[in-house]
Amino acid sequence: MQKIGTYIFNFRIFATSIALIFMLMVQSCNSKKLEQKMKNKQFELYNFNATSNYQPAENKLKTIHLDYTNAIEGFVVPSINQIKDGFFKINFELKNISSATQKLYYKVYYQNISYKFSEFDTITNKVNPLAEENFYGSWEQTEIEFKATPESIKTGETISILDSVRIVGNPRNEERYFLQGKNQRWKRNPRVGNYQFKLVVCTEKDLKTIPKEVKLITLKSNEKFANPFYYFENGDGKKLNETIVMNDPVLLKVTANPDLGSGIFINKDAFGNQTYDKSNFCKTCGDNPDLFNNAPVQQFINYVDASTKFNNIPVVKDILKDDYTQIDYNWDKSFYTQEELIPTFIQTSKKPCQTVYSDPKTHSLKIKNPATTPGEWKKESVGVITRHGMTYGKYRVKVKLTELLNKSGVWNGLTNAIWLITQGGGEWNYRRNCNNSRGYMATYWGGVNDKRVSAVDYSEIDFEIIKTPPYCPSNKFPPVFDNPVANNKNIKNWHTKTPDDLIESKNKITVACTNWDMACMEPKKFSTGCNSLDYQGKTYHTFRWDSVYRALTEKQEELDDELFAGPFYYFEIDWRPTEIIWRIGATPDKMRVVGYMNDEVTSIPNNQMLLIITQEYHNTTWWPGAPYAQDNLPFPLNDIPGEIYELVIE
Amino acid sequence: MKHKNFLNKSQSIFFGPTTLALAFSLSLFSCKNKPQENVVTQTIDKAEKQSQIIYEEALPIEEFNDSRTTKSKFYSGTKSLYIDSKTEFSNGFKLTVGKINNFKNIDSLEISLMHYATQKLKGVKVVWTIDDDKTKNILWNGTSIENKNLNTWGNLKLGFKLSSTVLQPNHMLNIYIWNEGKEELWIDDFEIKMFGSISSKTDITDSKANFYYDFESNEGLERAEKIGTSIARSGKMTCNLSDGSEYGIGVKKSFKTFGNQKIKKLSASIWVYPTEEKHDVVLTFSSINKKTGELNFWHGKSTLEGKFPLNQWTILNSAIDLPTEKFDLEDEVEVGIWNKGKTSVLCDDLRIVYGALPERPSQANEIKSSGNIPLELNYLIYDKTKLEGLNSLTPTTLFVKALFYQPGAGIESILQINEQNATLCWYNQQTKTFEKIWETKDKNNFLLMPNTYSAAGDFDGDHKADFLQVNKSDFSWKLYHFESKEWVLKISGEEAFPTNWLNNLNQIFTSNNLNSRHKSVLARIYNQQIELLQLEKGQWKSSVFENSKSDLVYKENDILIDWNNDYYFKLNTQWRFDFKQIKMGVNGATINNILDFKKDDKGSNPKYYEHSILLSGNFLSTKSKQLLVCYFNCTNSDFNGKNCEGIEKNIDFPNGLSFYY
Repeated sequence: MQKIGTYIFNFRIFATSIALIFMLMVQSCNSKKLEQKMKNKQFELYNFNATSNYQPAENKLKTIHLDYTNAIEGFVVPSINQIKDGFFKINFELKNISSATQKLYYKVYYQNISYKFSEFDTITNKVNPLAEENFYGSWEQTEIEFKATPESIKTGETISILDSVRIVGNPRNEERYFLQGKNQRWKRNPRVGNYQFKLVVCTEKDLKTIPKEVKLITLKSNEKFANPFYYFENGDGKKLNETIVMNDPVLLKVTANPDLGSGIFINKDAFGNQTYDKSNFCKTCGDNPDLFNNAPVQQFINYVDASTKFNNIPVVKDILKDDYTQIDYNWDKSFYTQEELIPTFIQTSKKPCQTVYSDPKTHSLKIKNPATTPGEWKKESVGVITRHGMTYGKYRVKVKLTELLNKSGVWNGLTNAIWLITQGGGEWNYRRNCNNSRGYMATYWGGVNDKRVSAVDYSEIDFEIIKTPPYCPSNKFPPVFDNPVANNKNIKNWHTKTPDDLIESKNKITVACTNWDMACMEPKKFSTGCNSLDYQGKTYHTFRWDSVYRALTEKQEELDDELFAGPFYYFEIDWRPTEIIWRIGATPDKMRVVGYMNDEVTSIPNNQMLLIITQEYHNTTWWPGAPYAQDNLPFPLNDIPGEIYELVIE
Repeated sequence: MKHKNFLNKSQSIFFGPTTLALAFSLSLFSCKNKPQENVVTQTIDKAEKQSQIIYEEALPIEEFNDSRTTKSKFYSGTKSLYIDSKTEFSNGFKLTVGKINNFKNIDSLEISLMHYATQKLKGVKVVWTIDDDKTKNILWNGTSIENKNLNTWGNLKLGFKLSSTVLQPNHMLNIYIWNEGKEELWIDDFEIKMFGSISSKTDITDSKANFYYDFESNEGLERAEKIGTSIARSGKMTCNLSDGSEYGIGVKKSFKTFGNQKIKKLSASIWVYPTEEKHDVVLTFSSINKKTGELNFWHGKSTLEGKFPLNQWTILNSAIDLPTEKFDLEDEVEVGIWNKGKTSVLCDDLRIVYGALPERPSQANEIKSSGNIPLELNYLIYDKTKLEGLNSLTPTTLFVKALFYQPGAGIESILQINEQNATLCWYNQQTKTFEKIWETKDKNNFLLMPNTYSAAGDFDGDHKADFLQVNKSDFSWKLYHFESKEWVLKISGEEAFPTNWLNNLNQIFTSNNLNSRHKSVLARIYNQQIELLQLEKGQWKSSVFENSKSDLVYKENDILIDWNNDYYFKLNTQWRFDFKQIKMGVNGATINNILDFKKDDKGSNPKYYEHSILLSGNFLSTKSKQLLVCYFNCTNSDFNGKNCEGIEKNIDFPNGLSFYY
């Protein structure tokens, strides 16, 4: 047990980061000025401050936003725009209380404590193997083990040490993120959330005891990285008598709050890598180097597969404004012949920047599904995707996406989606191995006979908001719809009634929360069909069609007006190492949970992902039981706008 | 002649469902009134009645004015076809398959005729052939006309199955009499009909797919003794298993009920009210092989799945894709309730849907566009002018319009004729109300005479509006004027009105624009052309409108509505409310756009109604035309577009009489 100073600051008693924050808050009530003192028989350590040049010292939680300027090669915290020189200044004091002059040795580590696995496995009483995935680092000069004090410290002498550090991607210099000898740090960007800085000071004697892989975080032992936070807090490092481990009482909160008005980059790969129409390019949307380096988002082009082909009625209408009612829908559904239908695929934009707009004045993004005309006949999805991949985080968007239902409760055919998708890339972005002997389904798009593999780079976490019934509880699914008969001499034949059990859902849409776990069967409660899962006193129903189905979904009906008729609404995906929580709400402080999954029921992705916000057309055959079929809904007469006011990742 | 014999005679006699139904009813009728021969009489399966007439045509014998017709003998009208030793081939039918509406759905051909001979016929055949687009014959069929009785009219009705392989758009169908034996005979009422299902590809082709049982009646239920008065979700009756009975009601149907193709899907729902814990109520789908008694399939969904709180009604939905390889059409399928847990439970409101969502029908010759340009959709706007002053609607209400009321200064008046009364109204622009000019409730008034056909217009070209009335019994006709608030007989026709024009009155429309001399004419679409019937010197003369040769524009059962000099509305309600605007030019007509209605203030759109009447005219103003639209639904569930028994009053679908412009 380390001795503690004037104020009680033994972080090891705090089991979780939440508790840590709580204690810091309690502590902050008692003191305006932080002072730390720890000692052993050899030396005393005072006042470790890892961010002395950033924000006032009395801040218990210092917040810094990720700087998107020229960040396409990876975020650094802080950036040169945030702090002169681009480093946090570290300082602390050492007093030699031994009887001899001595040099001391120190190293500073940092670790993201918001999104981490516990280092200590309480079941095995050993290191948690997943703790090596935690985002921790030290100085970028990874060849430095511990630094020696600049000079020998005489007995009774106190010296101040000044140093610096910054948080960068791929801090362990892992080979998998290198390409052609270059460390592509953007492939393992710093995580958002709270960072803890840890200072380790030791004598020369103890230094010799500390394992090489702890001193050099780039090294592995037994094919595993050694998390120093485990070593010093739970492992053998805890037993060192001539070593003091001190945590900076101040946590650094890293958030991402990109300026959505700073532009949209057009990635030519998304447009087939071919010559494309640049007539809609403008200062804030295009493919110029400035946007390449700085734009936080790019236009998203949905993947269109063969299953999205459908035969649409030859009708162009504004479903939301024209009071397109159930009888209109039923007539259109019954009274067009096969030959009159328009065979079409769901479209994506052929003219970049035409349907997406970055507004530097309001710092928001505007998107629109474009209107169409008879002959053009298109249902075009629209969206944007972020460009800086991250692992974990609480992704919250403030959006005004299109209403999905009109006042008659008829769906406009669109799915509002806020979703995370793998950044792709292959091996460097593989998810953690699925250790179940069957592994993951190899591809996102493959069928039931797809082979299984131990690792894939595909991951997806979705909010999909659509007009479709929940699948659970299973007694309600599938709804039983009358079959219409195209007999215009009997209105009841074709204008069929809505089933009684769906009437109360007339003004509701379904918020579908999905994790694409690629059917990895490793979670101990992996299951198919409807299953319940409790979280914070509420029961959620997970659904999976069968054991090869790649996604686990929860659905909840919500009022369309509440989510989309107001000026804006918030949607949040809280992607954590062992759980995913979907929340919605009118304000950030009034978010409510609409979906919850944990690693007992689904494989939580741990690779790097991007956020997408779309208003997209789906083939409703993907959504069994949907009361409106995409084929039978009119093409859009007018543009269907959506607006994205804010994105916060924290 | 690759396909010539693919239908031999024994195979080709196809007892088409509607054919048979018609034949059966005809045969009953003919027992009393008509001679009968070769009439097929056979009980038909109820399920097979889904077939309907897709195309019908009668040879216009009355209009032939050459030596091939004679007035010496006739079965109906005044003429018959005369075939003698010099006539090897008779007049007949010749049509391109692709021009037949819904030709892809045709599955049978019916040929009917009346024949008369003084000798036993031996060498006379009814022939139908199909030639390809290079006039190469690909199918030939000849059926002998046999007459058992001499010197009397005999009826011949033939049915043939048609294969989709021969019904190609460019193929030509020919039907005629081949007088191979050079005999003498007379032919009348020579007609063809083609039958099929509008939705031939559908899983189920009629409304028999959907069944709802609220248990207020025992009809159609197995184990109906389980029905009783109890807590009910709807009505008063419920399937009461509160005594723990194991088996509740069931619904058993033959797969044949749903057509000649196996249904592929079965869905059902039942509301369950458990009053005891540990309930296990199963909604079952099962089928047993009728021949072997073995189980074809069984499927059950239990209340163990999902949430069923006690003492609440909760729905149990279930659906399966049927294993079509495991059952025959002859087998039955049962949907039932199995109280497996034998606990106290109530069930109510069973819904069953047999089959998957039907596919849309194929209608190859539906016009999509002129060239490749899609047709624009134009809306007619609802006019809020109230139509107070008109009588209440009846299912047989007739509206005609013309400048009957001379003081109207160009505003056309509306004559509404019901069974009990008739009213002539006119819109007074000063008071902005409809004023009743004349009315009668006198059953003896000529306007209320039953069994008549009526139309209005200036038929004789004297610039005065005429009311035409044709007596359908004796084909006599009269023209009336409205003068000094009285109806005055103007012309009493001496020559009978052409009978073949009265075969399908729904197809006749009146036009003031189709005659260059601005006379009103009667018109109809016949063989994809406009056929006119105009009054010339006291006689009704038919002719083909010379600019109506754009054969892609017109379909059978179209009616045209004058809009202005160049533009007409074209309406066809045979399958759907198909409303278009066409432009008539010197080179024929082109379809300009599709028409729809902007909804009125009640949210109604006339195109959704089962019955509609459209009338254009200067009703409200002389400056622009309006369209008077009357629309309503009929009370009879089997309404076929012709015999509406009553007007349904339904707040969800208010009946309407509105102006549009």
